[in-house]
Amino acid sequence: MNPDPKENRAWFTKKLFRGWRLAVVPHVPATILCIFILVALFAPQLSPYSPTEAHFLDKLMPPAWVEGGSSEYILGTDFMGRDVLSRLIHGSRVSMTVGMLVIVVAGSLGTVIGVISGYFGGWIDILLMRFTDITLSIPAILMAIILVALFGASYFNIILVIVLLLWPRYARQIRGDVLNVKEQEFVALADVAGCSHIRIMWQHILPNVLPTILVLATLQVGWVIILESSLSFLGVGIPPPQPAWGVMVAEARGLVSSAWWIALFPGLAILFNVLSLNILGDWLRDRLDPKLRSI
Amino acid sequence: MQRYIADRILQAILCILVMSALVFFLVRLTGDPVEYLISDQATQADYDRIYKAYGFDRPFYVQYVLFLKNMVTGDLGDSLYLHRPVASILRTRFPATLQLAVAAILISLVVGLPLGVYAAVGRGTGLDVSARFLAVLGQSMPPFWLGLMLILVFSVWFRLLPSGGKGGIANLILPAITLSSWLLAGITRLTRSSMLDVLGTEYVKLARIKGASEPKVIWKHAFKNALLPVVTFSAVMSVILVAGAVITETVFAWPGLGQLVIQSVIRRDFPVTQAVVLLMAVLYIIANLLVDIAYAFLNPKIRYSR
Repeated sequence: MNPDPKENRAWFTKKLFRGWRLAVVPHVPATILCIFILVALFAPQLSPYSPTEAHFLDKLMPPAWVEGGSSEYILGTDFMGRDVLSRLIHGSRVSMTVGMLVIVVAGSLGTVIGVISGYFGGWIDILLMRFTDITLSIPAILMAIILVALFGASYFNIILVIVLLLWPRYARQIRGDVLNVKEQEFVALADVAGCSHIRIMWQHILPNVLPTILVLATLQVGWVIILESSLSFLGVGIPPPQPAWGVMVAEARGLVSSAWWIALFPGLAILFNVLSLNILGDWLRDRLDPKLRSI
Repeated sequence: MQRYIADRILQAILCILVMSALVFFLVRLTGDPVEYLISDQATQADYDRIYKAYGFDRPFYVQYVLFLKNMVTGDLGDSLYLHRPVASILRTRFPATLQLAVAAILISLVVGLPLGVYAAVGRGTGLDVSARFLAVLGQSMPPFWLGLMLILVFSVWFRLLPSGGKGGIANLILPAITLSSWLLAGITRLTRSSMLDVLGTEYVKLARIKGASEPKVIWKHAFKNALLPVVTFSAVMSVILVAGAVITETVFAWPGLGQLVIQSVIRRDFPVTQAVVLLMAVLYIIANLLVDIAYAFLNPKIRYSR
């Protein structure tokens, strides 16, 4: 590590791309993830129908390859005659936006609190970490249910609630990292050179905890997507008729014996999405910082 | 060390106090319960009477202090909806959740521990690759969907097992598997990495050199020492499992605490909601405390401090 922030960044890039060969990147999950992102971006162009448009004459049509299915609805229709494929495509938008927004907001908040807590130490540290511990001790799903009942179920509130539950995980981990970085010589040197606290934190400490932030972010997008879909499934998440994957599975609950396709496809979408994120996250962690293996 | 433990206990008590205040006030902000209790024909006078009868007319902090006092004496109040003492509702619901959680934990340990051990021993083999894949898969699977798919396959297609409700062992199998998926993945993963660390140490090499049989090296020398992080992880996760049973119980219509909490939030049944959430939080805080104390005993750095 080096006192010059530019070289710090170079060190980070070198570590990430060290011996970079295409063969090393987990191809399959990376490709799957790219497909999901593209589908989310171009949802209106890709989906054959509107996700909320009901075709009551074509209720509960099975997928095209099953007997009784029609090529008009490749993955079949649900109990209101809505096209499952179109809902699936639009659902990726919901999951991706919730996942990314939550990670950006909770990650930034947790990082700021973790860096401040670790850097200053003393009573600020004690106060912030006690607060973090209390927040961490709340059973996430139960608190989410209460908070959503309190604020009402909406897009914005789901994001808010998951942010409230997620930031302490960042704060804890980042604080630990900052404690290590703080002891290194270049921080003392920067202090002697007359850098302000803010400059030291921003230019010297933050680049060194960046790998942790990145690994946590990748691994936790999956957790966020599962939590969001679980809440939607329980009826305290994204309100219907919005095509969230969790909502789709919830709507299919009573129909699982007659219309299995309505439940199967959204679940598979969640599974592939989260699986790719987790495999990529594991890979990134091993690559950047093997000592993070415990997360 | 006494000081460390005293500090941790104090912190746990503080945690519980803050949690109780948080839950108390949040739950009260979710809506007016009286509107759920009275009919459309009720007059304002009826409303006021009920409002007063439950003590909702008093200031929040007075209600809170009363609530704390009652908590300590074990009086959790009456359910606003079921008109029964909350404590007695918990007594009927908690065993169901506990049964489910214990079954899930057993499955996770019985499958996860050997799988993790043999994955580490045969690092890089087919077994290792499949164990690792299974672990990532388990942590990526949405539990509500796994439950539904199990119902589809085993209840609808093969008609082997019931799709829900409580009853004999047959009713327990699918929900327990659903609930265990996440913990099983975690235990497998952690056992594997912990075993890999231990297998690389000098004393395991020494045991091999001195000619101990392979099963003896694996189970007596390595496994015993690799177990510590797994045990602490399982302890904390088991409590989280009880809280996470909400989803599994909803999918399988399992009459436990999880279903109760969802219903009580929807019915604005304060006493029940706050009792369940607090119970879970307190369990979780105590589990964490016990783990920290156990660590203090095992870690010489803390044991000999002060």
